[in-house]
Parts: sequence; C-alpha cells; structure tokens
Amino acid sequence: MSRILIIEDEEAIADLEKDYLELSGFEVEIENRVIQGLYVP
Amino acid sequence: MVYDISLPQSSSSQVKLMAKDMILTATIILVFTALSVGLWIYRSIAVPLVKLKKATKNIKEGNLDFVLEVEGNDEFSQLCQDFEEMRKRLKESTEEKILMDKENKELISNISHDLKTPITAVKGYVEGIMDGVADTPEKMDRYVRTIYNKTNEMDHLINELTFYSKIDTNRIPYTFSKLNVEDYFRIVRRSLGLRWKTRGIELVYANYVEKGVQVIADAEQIRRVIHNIVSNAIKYMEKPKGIIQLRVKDVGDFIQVEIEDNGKGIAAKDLPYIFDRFYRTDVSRNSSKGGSGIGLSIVKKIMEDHGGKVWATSRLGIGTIMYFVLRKYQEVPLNE
Repeated sequence: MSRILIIEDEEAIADLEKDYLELSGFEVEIENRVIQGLYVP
Repeated sequence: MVYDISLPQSSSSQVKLMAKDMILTATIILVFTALSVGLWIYRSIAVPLVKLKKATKNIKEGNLDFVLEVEGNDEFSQLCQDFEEMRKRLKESTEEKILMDKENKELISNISHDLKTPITAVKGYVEGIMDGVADTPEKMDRYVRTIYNKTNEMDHLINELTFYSKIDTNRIPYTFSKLNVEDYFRIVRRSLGLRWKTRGIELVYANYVEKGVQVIADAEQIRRVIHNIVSNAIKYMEKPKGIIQLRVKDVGDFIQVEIEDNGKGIAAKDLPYIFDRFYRTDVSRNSSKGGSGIGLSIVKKIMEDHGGKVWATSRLGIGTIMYFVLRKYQEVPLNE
C-alpha cells in the first residue's frame, strides 16, 4: 500500500485530507512542520 | 591731476581739460556704483530666487530629497529658510503616509488570511460530509464539532475586529470613575481565578498598594486589558504547570500592574512589535493557537486612552512579564 505524508500546519485541514486519502486506500502520516516531516521513517 | 592756476592765458583750455577729467571720474564712480549695486541685488535677490524656483520645481515634480541651502539673514534668506522647513515637513508627512499605507495593506492581508483559514476548514468539512467521507457516527461527530469550532473561531475574530475598529476610531466611550485599587484587583483576581482553575493554571496574586489608594480608570476596559494579557499568557503556555502571577505595586505617582507567566517567552526580535496591530510572532499565522494578534493591540489602545502605558520584558523558555501603569488619583493637587 502506498504511504503519503501530509505536511500541513492547519490541523483540521490535515485531518480532513487524511480521511479522504484513507478512503482511497492510502496509508497517511501527518506532520505539521517541514522539519519534523523530514524525519518520518 | 595738477591744476596750474598761475597761467591765466591758457585758462579756457585748462577748464576744458578739468571738466573732461571730472566727467571721466564721475563716470567711473557711477559705473562702479551701478556695478556693485547690481551685484548686491543679484546676490541677495536673484540668486535665492533662482534657488527657490528650482526648489519649487523639485517639489512640484514630487522630489523632496534635496536641501535648499540658505545664507544670510535678510528677508529672502528667511523666505528660503521657511521654504526649507516646509520641504522637511512635507517629506516627513509623505514618509508617514507611505508607512501607514504599507501597514494597512499588511493589515488587510492578515485579516483575509485569518478569516480565510477557518472558512477553508468549514468548507472542506461540509464537502466531506456531502461526499460521504464521514462514514461513521464518530467521524460525523468530529466533523460537526470541527465545523462548530471553526465558525466560533471566525465569530470571535470578527467580534474582536469590530471592537478594535470601534475603539481605534474612538467610538467606544469610556466611563472613567474612581476605583479603589485594593478592592478592584481583588474582584478581578477572583473572576480570573474561577475562569482558569479548570485548566490547571495557578494564579498567584499579590497587592503591594496601601489601603485607600485610588486610580481613575474605566473598570470594564481595565478588566479587558488584564483578561487579554492573561489569555495571551495561557495561549502560549507550554509547560504542564502554568503559573501566572498578578502583582500590583506602588511606584510613586502611578500604580504598576505586573502579569508574569512561565510560558514559552517572546524572542527579543519580536518583543518591540507585540503591541502592533495584528502582529504574530508566528509568520505562518497558523491558527491552532487561535490567536489573531488583536488582543494586545486593544490593550495598548486602552492604556493609551487612560494616559498610561504598557510594555513587556521576556526571556525565551522562561516567561514573559507584562507591565502597565495607571496614574493615581490625588485628592489634593500636588502643588497647592
């Protein structure tokens, strides 16, 4: 399964995007800062 | 010139010669005087006039970056000096206007951003419901709740904006009255304490002002000042155990109120701007903290209208202290 990383500082928007993408069958990670996003395994 | 009057036989030719000499001398004196008067007029009138003309032309074309040099103390020099003064004033007011325009543009862009963010979320969540993404009761509940919170956020922001624009254009009348410092702050402290006890934040209150000291202030607006400062402190509190200290001190003709928190602090580079309209230390203006940057601008405006002032000191990671002063009410004027 493909994984998608969302980097978004607006929590509500990130959650919504996650719901949409998960329904389409993706695994989703959320980070709200680019610097943290860089270290997602 | 030698005039030999002992030789009368040649007198007529000598008189002629003498007359010639005299006319020549007079002419030389006349020419010289005319030249010097002309030069004087030229120097004192024509030169400044040319300068003035040049300066007027510059200003007409909108160029204010020149200096009109003047020397001397006559009427023309004074006129030039006045003109130079006028240029300086014009330049100052033009620069002020440019700065204000820039601030206003930033203001509009900030407000648009702050309103746009919650509306994007609301729109997105409503679309999510319409698309059937909220497929469980839990999700549906979360969606509705988010929409509710975001609309509340907007409502709050618009209320703050309305209040700010009213107070900024002096449409909020103040009702100044004599307040007993001790009683007033005790009541304020009680209302603050009740409000934030539930959030695990401790409020410590200390009053160092003697009984009976009074200030002239608008009770409701000063409450708003304290409320805004404390809300701000709580908003940026990252420590598990938040402590907010409210101290009221006597500093001579004023009483000084200090509100100290142990929050994340404010960076030195941001400190001078925190009371500016809509200033946020966070450039992305992320709204997760729910801040609009209006709160402290309101604080500043209210304090200015009270003839007091507000300032802050801060250390990153340790906390911030906000100060404001109110003039004491004096029963008898000091110099009587």
